[in-house]
Amino acid sequence: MRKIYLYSTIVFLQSISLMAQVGINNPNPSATLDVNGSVLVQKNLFLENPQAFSIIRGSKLLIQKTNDQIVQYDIDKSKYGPINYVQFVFRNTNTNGLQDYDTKISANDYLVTVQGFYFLIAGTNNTNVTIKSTQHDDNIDGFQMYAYIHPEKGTWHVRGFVNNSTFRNDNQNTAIDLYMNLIIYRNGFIAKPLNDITVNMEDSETKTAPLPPGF
Amino acid sequence: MKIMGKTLTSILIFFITSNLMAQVGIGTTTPQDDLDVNGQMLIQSSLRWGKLQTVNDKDENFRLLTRVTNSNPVGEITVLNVDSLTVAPINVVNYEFNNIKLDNLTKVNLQYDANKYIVAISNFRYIGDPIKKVQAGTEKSIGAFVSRVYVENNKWHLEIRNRFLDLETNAPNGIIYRATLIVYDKSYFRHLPVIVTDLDGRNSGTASSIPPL
Repeated sequence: MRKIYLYSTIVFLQSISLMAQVGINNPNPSATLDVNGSVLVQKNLFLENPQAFSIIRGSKLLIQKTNDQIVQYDIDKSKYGPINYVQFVFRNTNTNGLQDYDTKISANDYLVTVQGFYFLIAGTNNTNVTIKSTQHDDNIDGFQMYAYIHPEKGTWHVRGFVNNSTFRNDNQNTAIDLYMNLIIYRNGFIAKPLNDITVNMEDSETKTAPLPPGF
Repeated sequence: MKIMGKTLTSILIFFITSNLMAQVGIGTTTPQDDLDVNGQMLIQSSLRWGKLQTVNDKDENFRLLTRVTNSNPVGEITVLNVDSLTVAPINVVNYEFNNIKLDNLTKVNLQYDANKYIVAISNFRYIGDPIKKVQAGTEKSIGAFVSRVYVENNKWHLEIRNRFLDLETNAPNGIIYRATLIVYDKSYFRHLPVIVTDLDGRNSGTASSIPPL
């Protein structure tokens, strides 16, 4: 006999004894209800009065797995963090910069952003690198250091270069070591992408950009 | 009253000890677990898990649990489903700015409320024509290019431009800027106070205060 019908018994006894302690699989309950085993709550769970915990270290977040089991989150054991940092080092990069690189990171699962970069003469700690236009000595060209989703591959690619320019040292083109700092958010955990926003500045220096819905 | 409680415990023990695999159902005659509550559960005081399992490296697409403070009864435990939220803890938005006056985004009001959000800029792209150097005395100036987000009147704003030089008015293609803004909800991300250090002309220093973490 695996199944016990206790519904009416518990209701009856509990209603006449407010201080009663109930144990399940446990003859010595140490709380009002002490379940020595696992619990299945088929509908809503309410915690009316949990204690507040003000110290982040020493606590773990709670997560629900796809099979509905509640477990504790441990960033050292999980496949990914909610926010992940990685430094990419592109050694001996062409003097034109990094024109395309497949990180192989899934665009479905992650959001990739380039949040910092620097470069040195390849193989050295030498910071003496300048940018020179290939078109005209007086051109100051723009940087592009970014991650994007490759439309066919569905993976994140990164690019890092200066428009129509080369990296130079002592008036000569030089290969560089390009350091890029990527912050990678797990999609659907605490981060999500919103729709792209295009702002037509209408030949003005100031403008109010549209706000995404709900903000 | 306590006796009645003990009686209940005894009854439970009786059933359970008569069958080590006993399961208890509430609102169900066919429990699927040691305790199976076929309905809602309200815990008025604390909840403790003795042996809570831990995520493993094969788990994916799990959801964070949150406690709702305005549910009825209060304290409903829900999963944080960012796909169904209009505002997630972290929101990632690609922006493009076109038809710019020369190179100058002097002040774009992004409208994000600084009381609620922290905004960061990433994936910056300058697409288009170069700005020309200009003679400054015996040397040529490259000006100073700025790309930044900042708060004014409690709203996040964006500035991207060369502050001292301008794109030539006859530049054939003009400039388009693209960037990815990351909008953090302050319920999850703390905006710490500014730390100001006077370096007094030196090129190195030590923090005047540590962030209050």
